[in-house]
Amino acid sequence: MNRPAAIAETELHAFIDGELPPDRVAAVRAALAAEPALAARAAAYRADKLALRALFGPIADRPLPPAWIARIAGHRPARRLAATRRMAIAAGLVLALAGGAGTLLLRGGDTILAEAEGARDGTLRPTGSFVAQAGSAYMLQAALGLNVRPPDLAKFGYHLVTVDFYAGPAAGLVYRNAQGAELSIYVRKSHGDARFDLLRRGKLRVCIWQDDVVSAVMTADMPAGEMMRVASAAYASLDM
Amino acid sequence: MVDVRDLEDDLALSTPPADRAGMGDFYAAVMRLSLEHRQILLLVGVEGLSYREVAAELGVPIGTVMSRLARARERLREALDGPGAGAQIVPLHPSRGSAP
Repeated sequence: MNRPAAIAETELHAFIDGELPPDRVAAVRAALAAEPALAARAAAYRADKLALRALFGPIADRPLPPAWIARIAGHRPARRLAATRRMAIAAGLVLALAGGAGTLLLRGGDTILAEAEGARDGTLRPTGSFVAQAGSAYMLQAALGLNVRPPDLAKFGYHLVTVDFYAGPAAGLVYRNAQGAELSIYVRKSHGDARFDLLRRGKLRVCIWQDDVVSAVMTADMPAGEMMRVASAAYASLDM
Repeated sequence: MVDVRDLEDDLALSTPPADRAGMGDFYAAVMRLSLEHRQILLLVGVEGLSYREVAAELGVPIGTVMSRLARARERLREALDGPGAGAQIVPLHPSRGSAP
C-alpha cells in the first residue's frame, strides 16, 4: 500500500479552517485516513475551535451601546459614521488578553466597564469638566488620590483635550488626533485583581487594564496592533 | 451592555451543566497562552476572520498567520492535556513544517 504524501502542519490547520487550496485537500484527506493519530489530533483541534466559539462567542456577538458607538464616531464625517455603526453593530470579538497575573474573567466582579460606558454615554454625570492644561496631572492626582498623570500619547498623534471627573472618584481623559478621532481613558482606583482585556467590535476597540492600584478602560477606533501599542504606552506612562 | 462579568452567565446558558467545569478548564488553558497565540486563536476561531484578513489585521505575512495559528493550537492542546502532550504529536514532513 502506498503511504500518503506528507502534509505540512499548516496545511492541516488550513484544512480545518477551510482555507486549504483545493488541490491539496485530497492529500490532507488521505493523510488523515492513513494516520489515526493525526486524525485524532485534527478532531481535537476542531473541538478546541468550537469550544472557543462557545466560550467567547456570546460576548463577541453583543453590540456595544449605540450611544457609546455614536460618541466615538461623532467626530467623523457622516459617511464614515454610518460605516462605523455598521462595523460596531456587527459581531465582534472579545480578545481576552489577560496578563501573566491576570485573574480569570469568569471570576471577575468589578464594574469598571459599566462605569466607563456610563461616562461615555452621559448617564454617569461628571462632577466637573476641564479643558486640558498644565495642571491636569495635579488635578487628577488630587481627585483620584492616586499618583497618576494623564498619559502622553502625542507620539501616537493623540492629545489630551478634556478631563472629566466623576463621583467615585474617577476621571475620564479625552484625547483627540488631528483628524478628530477620539480616544478616551476612564480611570479610577482598582477594585479588583490584575487583568488586561481587549474587546473588539468591528474597528472599535475597548481595552481594560487593571493592576492592584489602577483600573482603566481605553476606548478608540483603531486596529488591534495599534490599540495594543497605545494601551501599553498609556499604561506605562500613567504612573508618575 | 458589554460586560465581561456576564461571561459566567453565558457559560451557564450555552453549555450543559456537566460541561461547565470542563469549559472552566478550557478557559484557564486559553488564558495560559501567550498574548499573540490567544489573539490569533480568537481572531480565527471566534471572529471567523480568514487568514488573509488576520494577516491584514495584525500586519504580518499570511505565512506567519498560518504558522502562528498552528503553534497556538498546539500550545493550547498541550495546556489542556498537560506537560508532555506535545510528544504525542505525529510529526509531519519536516521540510513543510510550520515555522517557529
